[in-house]
Amino acid sequence: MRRLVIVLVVAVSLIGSAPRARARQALELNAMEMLDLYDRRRELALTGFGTSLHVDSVYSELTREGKKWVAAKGPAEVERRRLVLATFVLEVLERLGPDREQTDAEKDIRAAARGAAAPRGGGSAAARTNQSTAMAADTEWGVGMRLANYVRQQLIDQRTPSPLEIVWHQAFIGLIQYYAMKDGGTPNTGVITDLKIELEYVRDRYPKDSQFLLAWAWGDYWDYQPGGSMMWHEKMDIDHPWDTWEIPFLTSAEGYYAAAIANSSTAAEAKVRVAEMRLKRNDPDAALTILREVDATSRDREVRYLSSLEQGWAYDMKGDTAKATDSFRRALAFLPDAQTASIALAGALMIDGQLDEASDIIDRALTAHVLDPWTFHRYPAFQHYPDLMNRLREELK
Amino acid sequence: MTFGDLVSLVATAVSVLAGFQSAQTPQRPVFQAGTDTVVLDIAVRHNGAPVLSLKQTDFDIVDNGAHQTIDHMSAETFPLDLTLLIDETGYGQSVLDQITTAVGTATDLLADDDKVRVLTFNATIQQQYEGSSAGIGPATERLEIKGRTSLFDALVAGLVRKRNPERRSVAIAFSGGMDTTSTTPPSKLVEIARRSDVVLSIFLAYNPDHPTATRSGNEQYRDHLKAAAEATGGVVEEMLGDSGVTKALSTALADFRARYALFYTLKRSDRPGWHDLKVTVKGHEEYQVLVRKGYDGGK
Repeated sequence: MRRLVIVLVVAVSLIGSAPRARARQALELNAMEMLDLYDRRRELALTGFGTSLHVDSVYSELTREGKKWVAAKGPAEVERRRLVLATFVLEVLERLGPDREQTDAEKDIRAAARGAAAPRGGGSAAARTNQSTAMAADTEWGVGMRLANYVRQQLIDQRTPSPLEIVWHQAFIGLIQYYAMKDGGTPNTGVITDLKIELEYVRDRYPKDSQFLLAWAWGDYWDYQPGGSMMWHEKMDIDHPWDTWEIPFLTSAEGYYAAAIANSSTAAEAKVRVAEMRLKRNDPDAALTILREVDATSRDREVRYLSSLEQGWAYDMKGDTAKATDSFRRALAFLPDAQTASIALAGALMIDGQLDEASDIIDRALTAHVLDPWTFHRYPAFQHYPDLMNRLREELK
Repeated sequence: MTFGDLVSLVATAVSVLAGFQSAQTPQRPVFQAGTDTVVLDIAVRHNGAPVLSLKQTDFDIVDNGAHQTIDHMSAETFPLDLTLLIDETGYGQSVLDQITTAVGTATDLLADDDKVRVLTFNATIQQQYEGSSAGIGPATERLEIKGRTSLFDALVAGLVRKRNPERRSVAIAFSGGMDTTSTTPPSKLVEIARRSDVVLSIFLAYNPDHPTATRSGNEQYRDHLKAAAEATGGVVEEMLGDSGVTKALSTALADFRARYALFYTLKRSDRPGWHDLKVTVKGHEEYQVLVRKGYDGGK
């Protein structure tokens, strides 16, 4: 059996057994031992997780012994232990590849998922030396997906999915979105294919559930690799609306969003995203119509922030600077000092000759560190990942 | 007299004008009531080197098509209000390390009374430091290359800067030249640059492992960056070679210090609205004159 699957460095005081002179000690655990520890002493396992993960070994051990581990405590425990194993795999997947968060938002989400505070302003030197190459990360991700497929095979043994299983899928989808987007300006299309495999599995597993429509739409939108007028999905470049030949790709995503609008739990976010597509089609009036519906029905301050921000861009496209400025101000009323709206408002004020106010707005935005929902544009499900993981960890105790 | 007196339209700050008049020295101009003073911040280069020996009579200023009489010229050195913008994407860790090293030792190139702000950016923008030039080093110690780029948004953050009456406002951006996540469209960036009192210079670097690909990939925004920088009286240049970053930084700072301030007066009735500017050095068409392309005279 391969040791060194996971090197767990723990403070010995936590397990209370070593002389003070050896206050820290490296324990070498294999995947099954780590899974056991994760089940029994979750906090301790999470503390040491990620120091050194060999996903190949985790895969080979879990596929060889996982089923036995699930059944080891008798039938009454099978359903719970199956989900413990599945959640353990998510913990492993989240730690794959280099820690190269693109933004503080990503850093905060990943730190929250691990139950730690994120360092601000650049990574540590230690993190840099531990970074794998992108190619190694891709290889690890490939093994990780085989691991995820193994989990799905286990879960499907449970004919009627438990209420907690859907939480696992939500978390997994968030994680896939993050990995699809984390390495640069364009998405990793291979990972988007992994997303679609997961979504098809979920569609079969939960045929009547519409909550995954947003993820379907997201996958279709990001699966498109434009080379024309709108090279980057994430920009809101109102100078360059998408060309006509690119619109079918928007239409496909819009179809899913339209279906998601029928579901009250996803309607507001779907509308905000459909409005964004309308802006990219150079149709600000249609965007404004949809966004006014959002304002009339949603009290979620992040949704209202996004709605107001997009209204600002829509009015900007129409050349109505006064209404654009009002919309950006409204966005900041919902989320003070958020960077995207701050830059938009400051720019509008600057052009209007109001330099002092514009400068104050920028100064605050640069130092406030407000998590801006617009920056979650690229992985809307990932922002919920910490909460979903905490729920899984708690309910599986 | 403060630098704010020099670079701002006096008509937009009557109190500043009053201060200017009371503090004037004998060789400085007398400003008449009912007229507005315009002050232009100008650098002149020949074959890349600053031209430092010019006299007031060497310049020709055309404001909205009308030749202007220059009331006064100053070649004073003012403390800088410097914003350093550092792109954390696009050109590989080795180039970023060169930039952080150059910026970390920029104290040597700065005066004690210069104020410095360091902004880093990828998909978001972060203020790493604001203070005296002496404390700049630690601000850039731990920068890493990280994915997506909001270059246009970052440049807006550098250009929207409250006028500091004691200082010359300048910004130097180090970037790979790509933009993948900004919400500021290129036209808006240029519009903001035209109205900014900050002189912006942008230095571009490319990934040494893929120079051709990164350069051609980044060309799509080159014209917009050039338009934005030149609108402020700044430049867009490439940083080349191992010492390129240090050279770019020292050249930019030298440029900012070796500038002329030219004063001329407009009739109040001529002031409102947008003013196109053209400045040349008489008899020296070969000189490169770096000056903002226009200004907003107010409503």
